[in-house]
Amino acid sequence: MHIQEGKTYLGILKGRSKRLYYAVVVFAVLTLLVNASRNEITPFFVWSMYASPARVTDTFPVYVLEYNDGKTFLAPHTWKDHKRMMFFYTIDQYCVLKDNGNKDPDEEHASHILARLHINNPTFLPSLYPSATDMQAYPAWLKRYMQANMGEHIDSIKVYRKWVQFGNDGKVNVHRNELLFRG
Amino acid sequence: MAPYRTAITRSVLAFYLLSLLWRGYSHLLPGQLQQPVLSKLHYDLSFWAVRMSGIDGWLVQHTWAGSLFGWILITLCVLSMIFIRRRGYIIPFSMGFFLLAVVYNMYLCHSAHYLGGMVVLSVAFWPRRDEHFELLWDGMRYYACWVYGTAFLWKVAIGSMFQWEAGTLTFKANLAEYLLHNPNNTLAHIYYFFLQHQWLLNVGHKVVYLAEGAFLIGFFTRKYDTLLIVMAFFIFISIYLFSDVFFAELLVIIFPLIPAKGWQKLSGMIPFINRAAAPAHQP
Repeated sequence: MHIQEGKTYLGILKGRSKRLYYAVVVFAVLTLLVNASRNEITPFFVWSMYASPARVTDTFPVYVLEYNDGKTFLAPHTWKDHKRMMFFYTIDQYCVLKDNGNKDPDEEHASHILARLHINNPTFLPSLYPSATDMQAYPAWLKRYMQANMGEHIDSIKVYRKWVQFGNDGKVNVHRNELLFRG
Repeated sequence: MAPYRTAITRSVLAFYLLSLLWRGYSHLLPGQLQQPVLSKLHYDLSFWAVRMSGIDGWLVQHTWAGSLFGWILITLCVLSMIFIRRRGYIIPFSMGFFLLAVVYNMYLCHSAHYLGGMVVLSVAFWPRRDEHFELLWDGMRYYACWVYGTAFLWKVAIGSMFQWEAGTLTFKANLAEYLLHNPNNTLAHIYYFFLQHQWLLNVGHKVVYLAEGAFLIGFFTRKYDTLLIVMAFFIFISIYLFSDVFFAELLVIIFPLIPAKGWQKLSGMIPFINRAAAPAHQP
């Protein structure tokens, strides 16, 4: 079968298979609704990466992971790229929680949204977001995961948030150094 | 496309298999996460449903369950490549892959889109009839155009497209870590050149956006599909070099843009890729 010229995709689909037609229409409508609400519900994605204007600043945070007294975890590129993922995104989440009084700001926001839908104090909500206890357990997990991922014995870790600035020559200078935690 | 269903299915699923093996190597499969403690569910109702069902807890807190899940997924992928019309393999594989993507994003603590294309694309292999496969495969071509087309439209709607210095700011935010750790290598010196000529970063940034916008043409004609494939690679390489994001797995969306001629050529070069396995004995 060839896709005929001069007919729309949905038109052809409707003519060939009603069941497929309805499945595709439902997927398309849900994707459009999710895009209109800008709240992604997997597998109905909102492909809006880097769509918001970038924050205008001259100071940028960088996470530095040191282990075994002074070695720096470096994340090489290409095929080793994915090896660094769990480190830096989770450290970022740790900082979000830390900067928000050990609570996920999403939990508060979700609570407000549910209240608008007349769902007050839902008991399930705290189970969806990390607690202060989870935060306390995080350094030990990071050490455990690092050891498994790198295949190297890890005695100790230190995680820093360094605030860096760029000089006119493009070189990076550390403006402020903050020890986030050690483990 | 129906005559090349076997070649298409095998090629795309080989991509999935490589992704799964790469994730195994990178310690990203649920059984390898060492019982993570932090997660981020945002407001994604699928994440909420998986958390409330307790499935994610089983997969990441019990290493044996997570490992078994990973091996089942890899086995289903291989079986779906061999027996391409067996819905008993491909449908559970798609559902398992969806679960993998959800659990991965939950514990990554970021709603990343690395696996987004792959979550949707494998559904095209569900139909028993080749005619229905062809229709869904054609739909996936539109979905590929939707991914980058809407990425462009969102940038216009929300405003990144009209922020002149967005290129420099994005570059600095994403490459600061690399330059801090690698201040003296060749790539760092290339980056310093761009930072000294920031207009290049800002213009390049807009060019990448326009390359995304080019995918909107795909809704009206197939004439430029080969160009769109080139654009997808261009976007991938640019994002990798100037935003430090290695979106390799999203390249799966180029498969539906490959014209019939391309599949014909591939089938000629590697004959077994389009040769269906003998049907299993049915009692």
